[in-house]
Amino acid sequence: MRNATVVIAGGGASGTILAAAIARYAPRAAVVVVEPRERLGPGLAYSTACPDHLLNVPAARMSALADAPEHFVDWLSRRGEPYGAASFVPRALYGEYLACVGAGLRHVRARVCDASLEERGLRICLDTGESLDGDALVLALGNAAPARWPGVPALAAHRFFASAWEAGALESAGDEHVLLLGTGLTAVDAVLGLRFNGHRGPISMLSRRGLLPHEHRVFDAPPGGGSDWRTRVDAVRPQSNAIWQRMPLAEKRRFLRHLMPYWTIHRHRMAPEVARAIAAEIAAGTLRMLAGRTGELAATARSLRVPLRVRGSGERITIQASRAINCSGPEHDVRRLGNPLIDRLLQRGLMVPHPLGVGIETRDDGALCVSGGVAAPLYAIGPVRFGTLIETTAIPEIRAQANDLARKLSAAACGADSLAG
Amino acid sequence: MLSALWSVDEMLAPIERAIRTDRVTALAAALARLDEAGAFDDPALFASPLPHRYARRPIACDPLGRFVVLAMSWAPAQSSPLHDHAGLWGAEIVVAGTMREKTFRLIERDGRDRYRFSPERERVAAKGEVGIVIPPLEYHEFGNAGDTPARTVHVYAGDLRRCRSYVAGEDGAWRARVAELPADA
Repeated sequence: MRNATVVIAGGGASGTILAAAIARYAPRAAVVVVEPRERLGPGLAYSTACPDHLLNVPAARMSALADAPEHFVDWLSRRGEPYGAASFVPRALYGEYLACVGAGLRHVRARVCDASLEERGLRICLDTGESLDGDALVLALGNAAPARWPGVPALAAHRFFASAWEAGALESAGDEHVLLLGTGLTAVDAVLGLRFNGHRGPISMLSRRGLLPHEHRVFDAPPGGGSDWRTRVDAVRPQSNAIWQRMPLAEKRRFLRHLMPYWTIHRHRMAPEVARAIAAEIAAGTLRMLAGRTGELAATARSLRVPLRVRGSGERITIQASRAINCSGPEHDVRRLGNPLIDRLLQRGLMVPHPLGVGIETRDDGALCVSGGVAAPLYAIGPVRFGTLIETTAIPEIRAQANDLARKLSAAACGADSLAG
Repeated sequence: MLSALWSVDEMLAPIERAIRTDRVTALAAALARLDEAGAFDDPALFASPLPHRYARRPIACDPLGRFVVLAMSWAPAQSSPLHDHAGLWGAEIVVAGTMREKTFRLIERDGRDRYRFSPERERVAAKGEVGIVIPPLEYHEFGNAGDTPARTVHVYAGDLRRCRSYVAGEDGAWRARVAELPADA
């Protein structure tokens, strides 16, 4: 009997953590990680070189291995890094850690662009023109880029960045005004990145509600007794997905439309160092927070203009900036991602968009729901499971998913057929 | 003098609103606006530095215990030892002179109450600049960086009467002692 081969599409954090978990639980399974980047591990999320871009979770909760919670803190300590369990570590350093976790894994430098069910398993096509045979394919695609901003005039194209992670987006614009479309953690990263690169001019952050994330606080016990709301929000976390899955569809829709933005700023918080920098900017007036509905972008030869109806007052103003960066949240509608693999799987009926219009339908074990109910050995891990799950983007959730999936694939590894079960 | 127009109640209203938002960004902005408006300009708000240490005067204490406002004054070269803030968050604004802040990151605390710190950053803050304390980023040394007296106003989200200060030992580890904080008239 041959050993089962698991192919992982994507070698960022989730793909690498999964591959490491499979290596632990199913040493007999062959794992191939398909990732165009040179190194497995950092992906997009942990590739930033800016030392001010920090993890949003204390080091103690960032181990890549679900059953070795001290793994990351031990790694930091062995390397003599000046961080403790409660520290918020630079993301670049976490990327290094993930690269260590991913070292030695079988890595094919390519992108998966199609997969089809054959008699003997899966045929997985790569953008290099090659193909792989696999018994299971796991989509580990990471966070999607922001939703496309409607109506960017051609004249403004060079002043508009579709994502903060596009080349040049966070370069200094000297003394000019930069407008960030979004007020969440990505916009906060953009402020820090611009300043690190020497940008001196004013920065504005703008979103419909103008909600800035709250800050993390880490202490042994809440000062003055009682309990901090953060503790309670974090305590819900292990139950969030179970609660979510029991909610009727209409209620989920209402939650996504009305409550999600408020949940997000309480649940996904700024590291203390980051909150300190943002607070200093706001106090000094160098960073301005704006809330309201934007109109269509316009451009002159020298600047961008964004009409804004201010939330609350209803006043209409025009914001002028030399650059605008789309820092809104990731596109959750898989049909609009423009990802070739997802498009092909949707066409083949091997993947079904979630009825909420966000993410895809997955079963509890991460298997993709397919149309017609044919079982296929296709799985997903991480952000693309949003919709089915409400908590699926952070490392603690990803490593738990990786563990469950690795155990499942390990149990099935002796009989390749049952990988679809 | 404009600041003579400021009553403590007027000063407290924006601070209280900011504390209710539970955000350091709001508190930092409130202190900056108050300072711009001259709310902390009156030297009579502050006690005079003592020969051996800076002066610390609580100027307002929230009856519900949600926050305290402290006025501190520092002679040249006076500084606090490395200390924590009892797990409280807060903001500190320089209202006269220049201050130096060295922040430290707690790396480890062993079973015998020995602490290992790593320096995080050092900065000099001029009038109007706000510093932030958020646990676990609550360990710092703070002192007068200039050759003129300095004054600072601090708001913490709780009644900060004692904290721990830390003394460096020869083995590189720091030892804590509980410091009862003075209230100078």
